[in-house]
Amino acid sequence: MAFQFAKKVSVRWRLLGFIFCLLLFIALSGTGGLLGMRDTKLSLSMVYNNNVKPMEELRQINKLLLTEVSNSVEKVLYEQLTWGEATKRVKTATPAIDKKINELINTANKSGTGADNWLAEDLAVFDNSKAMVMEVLAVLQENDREQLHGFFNQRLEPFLEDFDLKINHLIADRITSVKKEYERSEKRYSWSKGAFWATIVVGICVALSVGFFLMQSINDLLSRLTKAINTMMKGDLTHKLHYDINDEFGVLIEGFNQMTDYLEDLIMQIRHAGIQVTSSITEIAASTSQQEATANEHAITVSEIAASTNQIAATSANLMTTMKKVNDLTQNAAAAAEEGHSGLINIDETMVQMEKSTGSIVNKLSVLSEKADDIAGVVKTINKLADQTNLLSLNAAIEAEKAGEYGMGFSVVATEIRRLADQTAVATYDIEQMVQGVQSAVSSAVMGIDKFAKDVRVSVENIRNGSEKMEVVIERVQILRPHVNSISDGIEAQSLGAKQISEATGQMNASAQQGAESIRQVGLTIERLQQAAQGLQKAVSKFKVE
Amino acid sequence: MLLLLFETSDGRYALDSNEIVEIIPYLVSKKIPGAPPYVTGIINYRGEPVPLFDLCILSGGASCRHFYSTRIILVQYPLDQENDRLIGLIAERATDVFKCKATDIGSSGILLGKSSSPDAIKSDKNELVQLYNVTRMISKDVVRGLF
Repeated sequence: MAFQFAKKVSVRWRLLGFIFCLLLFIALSGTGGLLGMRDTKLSLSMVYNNNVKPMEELRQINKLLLTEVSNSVEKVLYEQLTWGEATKRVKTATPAIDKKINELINTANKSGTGADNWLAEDLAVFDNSKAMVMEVLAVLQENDREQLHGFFNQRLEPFLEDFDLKINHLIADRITSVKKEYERSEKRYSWSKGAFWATIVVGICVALSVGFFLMQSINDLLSRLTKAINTMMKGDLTHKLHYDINDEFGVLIEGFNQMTDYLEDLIMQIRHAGIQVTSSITEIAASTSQQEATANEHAITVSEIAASTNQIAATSANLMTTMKKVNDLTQNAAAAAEEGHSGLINIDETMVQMEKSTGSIVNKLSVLSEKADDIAGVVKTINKLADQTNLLSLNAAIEAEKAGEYGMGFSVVATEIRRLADQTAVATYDIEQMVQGVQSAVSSAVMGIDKFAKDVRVSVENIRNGSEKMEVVIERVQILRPHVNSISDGIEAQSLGAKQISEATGQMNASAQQGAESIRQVGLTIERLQQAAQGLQKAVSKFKVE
Repeated sequence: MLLLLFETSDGRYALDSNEIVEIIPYLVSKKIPGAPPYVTGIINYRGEPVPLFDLCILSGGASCRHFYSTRIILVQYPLDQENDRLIGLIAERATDVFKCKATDIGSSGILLGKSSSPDAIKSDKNELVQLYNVTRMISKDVVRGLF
């Protein structure tokens, strides 16, 4: 019950309750102690006022009576003092005694009135003592030794004995009163001791039980929280705490859960970022190595350019000398071209004549081809005739065979006819072959001549073109000379430029090498970055997230 | 005896002149539907329908090529005891005859059913020529089916 209740009250109120309990018990025990002390003080003051003070006063009164009054009288009797001195002493003692008695009565009156006043019964004794002092003074003024002696023996001494007795009795009474007071205070002490111990025991029990419950409720939560934090320290961020009560721990656990969520988010983001960084680094590394390769190529190219530029410079120098020769040669070429032009005109005329001749040859050859075709037709007819003759002779021979002996002569004729027919066939075959040869020769000749004619035509065309071009060449060659001079100047400028380029490429080479070096540095940095990214990923991989 | 020499797709053969009626030039024939592939068609010979047998196809080759020397040999086919039928044989290079004695013809001694000619002779060009036996090469059932 108490535990359940304790669970529902917030920790602050629980702590406040606990402290309040403890304070209550402290206040209770303190009040008890204070009351006891007050009792003790009161009882002590009572003992002092009612008992010790009166006792002292009684003793002083007794002493004054004995030392001042009785002793003065005795000394007079034994002549140690004069009468006057004795009277003087008694007279000075009298107000002191009166004062003491009054003080005693006052003290006694403070303790109570009537029956409570312990001195009420014995007030007469002190009145008697006052009277006695008066009597002593009266006797001393008489200056009569006998009378004084008699007074001392019969009146003063018995009175003093009786007074002393009474005083002692009063002192004893006071001591009894102190004893009673002591017993009373003893009882009070034992009672308040019991009450004190009971309060202490109950207080400790209550404090322990309340403290135990409080501690248990806090401890339970703390152990849960510690466990969760340990899990988190191992890198598991998926663990969440559940707590229903809306108190400080609720806020703490909510905060813890939120922190875990944030951490989880953060780890996820770091992980993503790590992956992205790694991939980016890989890309950068790839591009850097490409750049490095490019830079190296660049350096190589630059050195090649330098070499080429040097060559260009050398070549330009050569060119300059060559150009001078070219200048001379162009003059010669102009002259030669003039001569060539007139020669070309002659060739052109010849070619035109040749074209005409080939045309007539082609015509004649086509006539030949037609004739050959005619011969072939005749040969075909002869061939057909020979075949039919052969057929006829075969049938004749068969018929002659069937006629037997009557057909013998006919058979010979048939055989002869067939031989003639065969020879005819062979002869026509030869003619056919020859005609075919003629035909193929003619057609190949026609083709050849056609080709020749075409070639001639192309040649004529070419020669015309050549002639035109030659004219152009001649014009150009004549124009060329000033150009050659300007080229010569240009080449000189080029040679100078090539030298400047060579110097520039040298500088470029140096800067390219610097670039390559810095790219290598970038590569090293990227490697370190990669290691860092891997470290980051490794560190993040310790965390388990959803 | 007189032998007509000719060629088919598988060699040179000879035919006895007594069996031959006439040799005529190659003519384009009228096709017979449903006939075997070696029966190329029918021609009109002096008012009489005559079926043509291509010997090149019959001996297992392509049809005879159309040269001048490719001719139709008309022969009497002895269908039964009384009836002879006129048929035409298309053969290549039927341009020559060869005279020999009946005793010159030697036998190969081998008869291979219907498809083989057993007889062999030597021509004057020292060439081995087989005697073509029409009744053995063209079965009576086929000829009977045509008439």
